Amino acid sequence: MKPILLIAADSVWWMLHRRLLVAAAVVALGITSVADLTSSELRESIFVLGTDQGGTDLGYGIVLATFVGMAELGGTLVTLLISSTAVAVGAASGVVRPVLARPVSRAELVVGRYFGAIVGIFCYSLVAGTAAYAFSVAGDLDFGPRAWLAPCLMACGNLMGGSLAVLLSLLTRPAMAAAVAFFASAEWFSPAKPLYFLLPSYDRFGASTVVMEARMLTFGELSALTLYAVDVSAIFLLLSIWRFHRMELK
Amino acid sequence: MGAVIRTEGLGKTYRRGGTALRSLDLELSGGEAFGFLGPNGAGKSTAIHLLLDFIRPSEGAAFLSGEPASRSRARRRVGHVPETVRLPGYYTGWGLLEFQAGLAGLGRPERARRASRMLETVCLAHAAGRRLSGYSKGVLQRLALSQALIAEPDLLILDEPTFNLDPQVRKHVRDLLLEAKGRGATVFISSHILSEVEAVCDRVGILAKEVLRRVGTPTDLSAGGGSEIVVPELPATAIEALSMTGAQVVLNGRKATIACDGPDQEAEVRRVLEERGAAVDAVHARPQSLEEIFRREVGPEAGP
Repeated sequence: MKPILLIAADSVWWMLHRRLLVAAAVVALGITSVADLTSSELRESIFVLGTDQGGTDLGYGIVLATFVGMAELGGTLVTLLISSTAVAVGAASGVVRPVLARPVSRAELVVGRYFGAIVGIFCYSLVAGTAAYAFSVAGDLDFGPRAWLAPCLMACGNLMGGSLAVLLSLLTRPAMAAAVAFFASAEWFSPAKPLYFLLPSYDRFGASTVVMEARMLTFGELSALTLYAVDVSAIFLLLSIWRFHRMELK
Repeated sequence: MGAVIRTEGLGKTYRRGGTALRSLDLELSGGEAFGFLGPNGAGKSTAIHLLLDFIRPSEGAAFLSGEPASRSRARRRVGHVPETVRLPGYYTGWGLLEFQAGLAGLGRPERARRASRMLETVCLAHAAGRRLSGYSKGVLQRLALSQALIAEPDLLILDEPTFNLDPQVRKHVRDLLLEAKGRGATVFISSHILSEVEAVCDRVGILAKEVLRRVGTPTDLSAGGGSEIVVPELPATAIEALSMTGAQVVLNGRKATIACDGPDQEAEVRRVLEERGAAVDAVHARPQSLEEIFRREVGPEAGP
């Protein structure tokens, strides 16, 4: 366990020193927060539009969904940037060799790097959730628990997308892996959904949709979704370990 | 003490790139220093990568301290310096050593103590707080050596450890290797610098064209260097006849020293001398330098 924790800490340290990544996270959060907090007129008009169409609840929902949708997109991009490079870049550059020359197995290296990436993804989701809450307080909007539901769903969705990107990055170039992971949702193949058993279903984790529809998930539903995300991610993690185990580190 | 490194018919053939190593049989016992010599592309680095499980063998097997090299446990007490040092640029020198010591299983206080001590040992205490991205190649090489030594390993696997170093630092590194050997560590060193190998290693293996050609102590290897025949008075008529044998004749006045490559040549020279009536004063075994042995095995075109 100790090597995994050390490698995860190393992975977080690596992320913090990646200027592009930190800049992307800051910009994504900054644009989301600044745009939403300062454009009171836009918010007002979205609210009025929603209220006219479906009442106050829908008005609130659309305003928050706009914010959450932007944060969600930013979070997805940051996640893919982190996860598509977490293992693959170090393996390609040879930086992982000094680590693997120690009594560290390849599985421990992948799991450590993966945990590090998850810490990054969850931190982003936490910050985005806090921003959503601050946004609702600053705007004197009554979003209730929905404001906290959004980061949970975002974190779960990003966990799955990130896990798929880790696996794909060990099969192809990181940029390609990120792009494929972004679009590889079972929903793309509706209505037959032939790939439901192979690809993750991202739509269930669409935080902005859930917020807009003012749909409160029960504890059971949220637990089921979380278990689904963890299950899918665990499968991708195991496949990543298998793939990395077979790789030759030239 | 059992074999610290053992390979049985170890080989590597890439699916696309041909063969990199063929049937390597090697056994190193504890406390031994082994020099691995060979020209570029001979398969030295491939052998090291197979030992460290960076790549997988296509034939045979490798064992470290009795464990299959594919198991991470086999690398419990191993320190490694790669040929091309690639270290994460976001670490400071001290941070990297602390991290590596942690992976080697050392506790937190011990990690800090060893990191500081190793930085002093390789004369990098002044650069301890600087990011690795600002280090020169030579400094990175020294840091790579210090991270290999930090956990006081029982086995050191070094791939061209002094490649980027100036002569003064090279000597310092040699002293560190001798010190490690002195405390009982096994040293496996691949190098182009023959003097370095001669100074540190108990045994030498010469690898050429993916095959291990010769293994032995420097003394054993140098013993196969033919002979020297000393003739006190060499008749002038014999010089031309001797040149036809291919033997090397060094004249000092009328006294001659004739270097023969092997028994056949020696017999031929003796016949020429007898025919010309030249008396033989003495015959010595001619010691060969490691460089001569290397060139003979590898061929004249390949420099070390």
